[in-house]
Amino acid sequence: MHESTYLILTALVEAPRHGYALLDEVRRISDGRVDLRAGTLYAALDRLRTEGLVDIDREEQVQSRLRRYYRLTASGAQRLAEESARLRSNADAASVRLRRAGLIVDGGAA
Amino acid sequence: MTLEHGYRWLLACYPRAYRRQYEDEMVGVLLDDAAPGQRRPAARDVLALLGGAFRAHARQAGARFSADAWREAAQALALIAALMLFVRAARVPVLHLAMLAQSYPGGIGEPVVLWPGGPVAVLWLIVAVLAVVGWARAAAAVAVCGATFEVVRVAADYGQYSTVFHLWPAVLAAMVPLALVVRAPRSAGAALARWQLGTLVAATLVSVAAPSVALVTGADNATAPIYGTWIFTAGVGRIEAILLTAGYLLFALAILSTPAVLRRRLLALVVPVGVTLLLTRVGFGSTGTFRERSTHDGVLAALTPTQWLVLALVPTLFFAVAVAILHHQERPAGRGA
Repeated sequence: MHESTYLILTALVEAPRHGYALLDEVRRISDGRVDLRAGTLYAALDRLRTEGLVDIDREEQVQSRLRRYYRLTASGAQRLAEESARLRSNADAASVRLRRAGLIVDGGAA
Repeated sequence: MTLEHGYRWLLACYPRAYRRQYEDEMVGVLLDDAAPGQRRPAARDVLALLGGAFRAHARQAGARFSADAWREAAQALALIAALMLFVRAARVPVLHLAMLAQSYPGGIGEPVVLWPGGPVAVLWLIVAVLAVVGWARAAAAVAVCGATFEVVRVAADYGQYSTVFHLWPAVLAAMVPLALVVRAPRSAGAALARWQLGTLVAATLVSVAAPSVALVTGADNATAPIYGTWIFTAGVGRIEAILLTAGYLLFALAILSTPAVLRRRLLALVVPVGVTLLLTRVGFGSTGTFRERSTHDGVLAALTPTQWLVLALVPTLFFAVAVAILHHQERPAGRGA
C-alpha cells in the first residue's frame, strides 16, 4: 500500500472528514512530511471508493461550496489493520537486526 | 483569470464523468488550501492535477477495455485475423500442389514454395481452430510462433530491400496472440453465429483456392494480368482477382453482419492494420504522395526517422480516435460522458 493511501485511511479512522480536513490530517499524522495536493488526494479517494475501502458519508454546502465527507468502510478498516500489522512486523524485524548488529541503541542510531 | 478559473481550466483535463463527480468539491478544497492572496495555481497543484487527470483517463480506458464486449471482440478478431493470415500463407503452397496435381513438372518451380509458407499456413490454421473451440491460451502460444515469423520476414525484407510493403500482415499477426490472451466470457466460436462462421470458412476457401481455381480451369489464360498496389491485384489474372475480391467481401460480410457492439469493436481493432496498409502502400511507396521516398538506382532509400515515427504513431492515433468515437456513440442517452 502506498504511504499516502495508508495515511488517508488512517486519517479517516476516528471520524468522517471532508477533502480539506483530510489534507490537513494527513500533514498532522505525518508531522508535515507528507504534503498531499488535491489532485493526488482525489485520485486516491476515487480509487479507494472503487475498491470499497472508503465511501461517501454525507454532503454539505458551505459558503456555496460543496463539501463531501468520506468515511472508512469495514473493508477499509480491515485493510488498514492488515497493512499496519505488516508494517509493524517489518519495522520490528528491522529494529531487532539493527540492535543485534549494534547499529542502534534503544531506538536511536549508535 | 481568477484562481478558481485557473483550477477549473486545469480540471477540464479530467474525464467528463470524473469532473461531474468531483469538480466542484475539488475546486473548494483547492481554494481552501490556497495561500492568502494567491492568484495563480501553485506549480505542485498543477503537476498533481495533470498527473491525476492522466491517471483518471488511464483508469477509465482500462475499465472500458476490460468490458466483456471488448474481450469478445478480441477473440473474434483473433479468429478472423488467423484465417486471413492463413489465406495469405497458404495461397502459393496450395497453387503449387494444384500444379503438381495437374501434372505440371515441378509445380511452380520454386523449391521454397512449401517452406516456410506451408508450415506457417498450418500454424495459422491451428490458431483459428483453437480459437473457435475456445482454447485461447493454446491458440495464443501457437500464434506467437506465427507472429514471430511474420515480424522476422518483414524485418528481413526491410534489411534487404528497405521495403515495408508487407508490414500490414506483421501488424495483424502481432495482434493475434495479444488478442487471444485476453480472457473472454465466450470463445470466438460461441460469439459468432453459425452462419457467420460458415461465411468465414467460405471466405477462407475462396481466397485460398483463387489462384488454383484460375489455373486449373484455365479461366485466366485469355485475360490480361491486373497490376496495382492492392493486396489482390498484384499481377494476378482477372478471374483470380474476382475470386479474391469475393473472398475478401465474404470476410467483410462476416464482420459487418455481427451485432453492432461487436462490429464496432472489430472495425476499431482493424483500424491500425488498415492505416498501416494505407501508409505502406500509398504513403511510403517510391511514388507515394504522402511521404515520398527517394530511390538510388531503383532501390528504395531507408525510411527516415520521421517516417518511422509516422508509421508508429499514426495507426495508434487513428485507433485511439476510433475507440473514442465508439465510446462516444455508445454513451448512455442523457449522460454527458
